[in-house]
Amino acid sequence: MAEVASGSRSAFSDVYGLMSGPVFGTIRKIVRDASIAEEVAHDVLVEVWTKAQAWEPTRGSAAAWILTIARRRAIDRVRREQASRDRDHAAAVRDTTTPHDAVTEEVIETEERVLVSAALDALTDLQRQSIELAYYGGKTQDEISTMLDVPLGTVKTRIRDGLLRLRTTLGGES
Amino acid sequence: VNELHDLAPGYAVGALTDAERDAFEAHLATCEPCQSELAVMDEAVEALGFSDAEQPPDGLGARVMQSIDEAPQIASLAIRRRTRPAVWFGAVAAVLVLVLGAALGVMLRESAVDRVITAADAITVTVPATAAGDAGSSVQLVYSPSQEMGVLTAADLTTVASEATYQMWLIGADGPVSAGLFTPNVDGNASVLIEGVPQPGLVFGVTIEPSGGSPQPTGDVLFAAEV
Repeated sequence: MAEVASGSRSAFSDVYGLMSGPVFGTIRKIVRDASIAEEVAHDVLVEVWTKAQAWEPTRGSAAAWILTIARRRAIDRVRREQASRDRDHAAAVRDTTTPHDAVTEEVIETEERVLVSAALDALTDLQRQSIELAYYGGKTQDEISTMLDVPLGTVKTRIRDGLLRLRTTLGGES
Repeated sequence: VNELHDLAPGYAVGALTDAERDAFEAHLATCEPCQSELAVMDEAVEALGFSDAEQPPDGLGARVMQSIDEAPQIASLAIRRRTRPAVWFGAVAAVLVLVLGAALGVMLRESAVDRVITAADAITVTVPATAAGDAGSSVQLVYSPSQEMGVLTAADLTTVASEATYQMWLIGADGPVSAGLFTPNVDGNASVLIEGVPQPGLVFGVTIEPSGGSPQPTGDVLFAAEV
């Protein structure tokens, strides 16, 4: 990553080779549509290049940093599309349904969950939901605590336990 | 500010508010335990990212490489200037921690452990040594059904070599499931949160495994008890 930050195209090409699959796959699970995912992935990878000098080792691994940018941009995109859909259909949609959030609904939806998270099967329901809502849904710990009606401390512990278990169960694959 | 020490998992999965994220990034610059904790959490995030990987469309690579030729990198000076207040925040936080004493940091990290041990419904189970274990050690499992959390407390454990670790297991009808790793301190004491939910019907066990832990126990069960 340091070489990328110093402007090395070939170092960036290596990063592309390693990270384009995870970046594209993660984005596609959030935005679903393959051509939108391609567009977002392009912007994310260019952002990795332009902001390479902002990455600092104390803030975690470079791969995790790149995946965080990918998720953030994908979630932004879903929220923006949802907002514009809501504006378009404002009159029609004024019904009795509770306020909804596109990202969260898509993530929680049972069918979709199979697609999103076979990797998360080893977790308890609360661990899996907490991680899905944060990781794919962009929810904060406080929001998850409210949505799942569990104490904030429990959400934090579940995210931590879930990640520790994922590290054990998935660790061998990468 | 006083809960900065338990923000690493939330930071890793992007579950912090903007304010929490800024505060935690500043805190990270000076807090080695949190850097280590984050490194572990990031391994899980990487594993998840790689398990989600999909072949990107043909042509994406070429378009990205073309775009970066036209996209200048943002100079570190501009970025650093923007982050300077955060560095200041870190320095202030570091001084605060010094002033309040190292005990505060330890206390914060152990707050979850304390919550379990002091829970109104905490149940303590003595976990005796098996024939393979050291009968001179004392191991207890404390769990709180209401908090769905458990803690192992141990004294006079045999220390393990650096390439090995103690690993906890919850054993049910489907076999053993890892409940986390731990290393006793130099006095042989340990006090750690258990991953997963200890509950009646499960057996809690402890083995010694190669460093990093094992998916399934490979060492002898040294301590075991029904929850």
